[in-house]
Amino acid sequence: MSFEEFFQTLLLILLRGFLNTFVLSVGGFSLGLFLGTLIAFVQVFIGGVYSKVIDYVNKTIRSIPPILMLFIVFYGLKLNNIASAIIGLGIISFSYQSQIFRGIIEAIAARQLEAALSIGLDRWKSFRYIILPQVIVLSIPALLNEFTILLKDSSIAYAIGVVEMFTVSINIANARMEYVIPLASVAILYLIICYTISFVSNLIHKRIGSLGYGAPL
Amino acid sequence: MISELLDIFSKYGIDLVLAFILTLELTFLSFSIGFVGGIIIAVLRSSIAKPFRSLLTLFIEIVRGTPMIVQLFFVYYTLPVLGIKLDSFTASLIALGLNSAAYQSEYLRTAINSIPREQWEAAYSLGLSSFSTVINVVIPQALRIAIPSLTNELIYLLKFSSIAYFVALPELIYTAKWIASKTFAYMQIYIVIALFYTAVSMILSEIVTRIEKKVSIPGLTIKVS
Amino acid sequence: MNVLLKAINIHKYFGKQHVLKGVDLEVEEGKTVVIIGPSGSGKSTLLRCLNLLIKPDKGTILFNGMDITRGKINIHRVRQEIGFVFQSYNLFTHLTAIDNVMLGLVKVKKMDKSMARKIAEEALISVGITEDLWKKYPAQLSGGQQQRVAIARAIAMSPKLLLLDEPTSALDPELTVEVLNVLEKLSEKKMTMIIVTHELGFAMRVADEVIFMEDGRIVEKGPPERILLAPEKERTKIFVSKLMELYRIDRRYK
Repeated sequence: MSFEEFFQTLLLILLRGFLNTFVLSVGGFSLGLFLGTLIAFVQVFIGGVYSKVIDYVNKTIRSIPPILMLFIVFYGLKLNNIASAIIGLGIISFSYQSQIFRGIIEAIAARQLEAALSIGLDRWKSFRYIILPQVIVLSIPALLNEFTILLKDSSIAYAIGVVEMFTVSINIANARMEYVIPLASVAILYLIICYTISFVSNLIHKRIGSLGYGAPL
Repeated sequence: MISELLDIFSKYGIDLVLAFILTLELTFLSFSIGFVGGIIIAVLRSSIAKPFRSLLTLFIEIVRGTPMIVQLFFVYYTLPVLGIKLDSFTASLIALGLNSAAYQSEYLRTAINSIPREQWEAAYSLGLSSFSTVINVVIPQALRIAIPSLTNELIYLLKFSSIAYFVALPELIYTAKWIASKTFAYMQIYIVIALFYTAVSMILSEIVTRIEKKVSIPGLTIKVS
Repeated sequence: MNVLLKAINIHKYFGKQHVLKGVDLEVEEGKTVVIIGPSGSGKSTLLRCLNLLIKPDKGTILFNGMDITRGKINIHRVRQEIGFVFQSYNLFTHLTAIDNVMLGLVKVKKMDKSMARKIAEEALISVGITEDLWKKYPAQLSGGQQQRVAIARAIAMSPKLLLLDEPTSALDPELTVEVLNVLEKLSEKKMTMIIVTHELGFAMRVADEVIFMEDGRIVEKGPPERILLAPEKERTKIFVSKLMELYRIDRRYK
């Protein structure tokens, strides 16, 4: 078990698998972002019975094991495996992201909206220039956290045959009949990526704090 | 479609029930391991010497930074190198348990940090040692504050007990897939199982809420997690 | 008379801030000492140094002749003999009143539960907390009741010295009286006490010595009649007259 061998395996996994890991994570996250913001809007600004229904749907989505979600999309909608993975991960993500946005909007909307309206901005402008920018900035740490979760969950796509980092590491392990190095390598890769993201997230969080926003939302 | 489903359940009902029991076992046992482990880690981290503390922190960071499936495969496939051969259930239990211990120790740590310094001061003023203070004053309060996070953890474990699918443990997902591949009724079975997980989650949530009410102490506010 | 506590040249820094600038203090057994002074003068810090909740950076503290600032001392044993009552009561939120009082007895003094319970009950009754309140949680008690339970908790340990940090500052006026009465009773029973407070009337009536602290130093100390009614130092005069104005206390108190 030499260092060279180790490093070689790491690089191999990175080269063969990172692209799909990236595609799955970013794809799923974007889907979640798009739907999540939409849902958050509906819940905060329309509310009522729609909000309640959405709450139930969210609860359901969050009770389903990720593997099952992928299976349902893959076998149910009969799409190819990457698309199914992106959609499956995206669905799970949007249920969490919608709550992140909802929480932040509810926390700042009321008072900021009042202030904006009182200087003469109409609802749409208040929204676009005052509330939206703040929501975006404030939600970044939570979203980065959500992204790391998605990144880790992307490994589940192994179950439907997507060749992402984890799958590559297992293929290598099976070929070499040796599990320690490939698993350790892929673990380190995930660690590096996640750690980098959370480091950036902390920096941003501190910056947000210094802008005058208080305790973490 | 309903008749088709009923057909399937009459044929494979027993397998599903056994699978469900396995899933529950895995969930509760790993939660318990995580709970005990979490307390031990949290207590150790606030009392022992620096080098050991850093080791524990390293462990937690590794668990938090890698996918659960990687952790499971590590336990299942690499421990044999050291001579320990594990069956799927034990391996899953260990992997889930360690994972849960890491997360639960963090939830506890947050809860402990939210307890005002004055409680510590009052305990010290009576002559309690730091260990005694942690056991008698801090932990009883921290546990109650941590209940919402712990509930989430339980539900999370219920979901991720499905990870045992990858080491061929006949829990719910594995069994469902097996039945689906035999009957070709993929969608129906998966949707039913999905609804089933939802129902179980809701029941568990409700049970925890009841327990929470029973152990709540007036004045000990539950912080939003 | 036996000197119970002697603090010599206590210095404390919080970062760059020099909070205690060489404080000397002596308390005889059975006496009640009251410390007054503006906020930020270091009174609370000084008090916390006396039971080593805060470690002084320089200086010595002799408790009953024993130097407790030396590292080798078992501070937990020492703290059993020094009681502390906090401004914000600091009752253990998760325990009932009686359990709060019993905790120290059971876990520190290792008494068996029945003995501890008896002592706890006596302590609670002596501070005026009746049986119907024993099983209540702190959140269910009024401020005055909580503080009295805190006092019971401290005295149940039979300390030789009782330290109180602005025990009534967080209380409404009506509740302040009930706590001050308890403290007065304790003083009559010759409990050695050091109390930081703004209650000048109480100091006048109960204190054996009043110490005025400002800016990390003791400015003046002496019997209450002198310090409160005819202080020598200018700064003492200014502070005392401001407080008297605030509380509108007649110069000739009775």
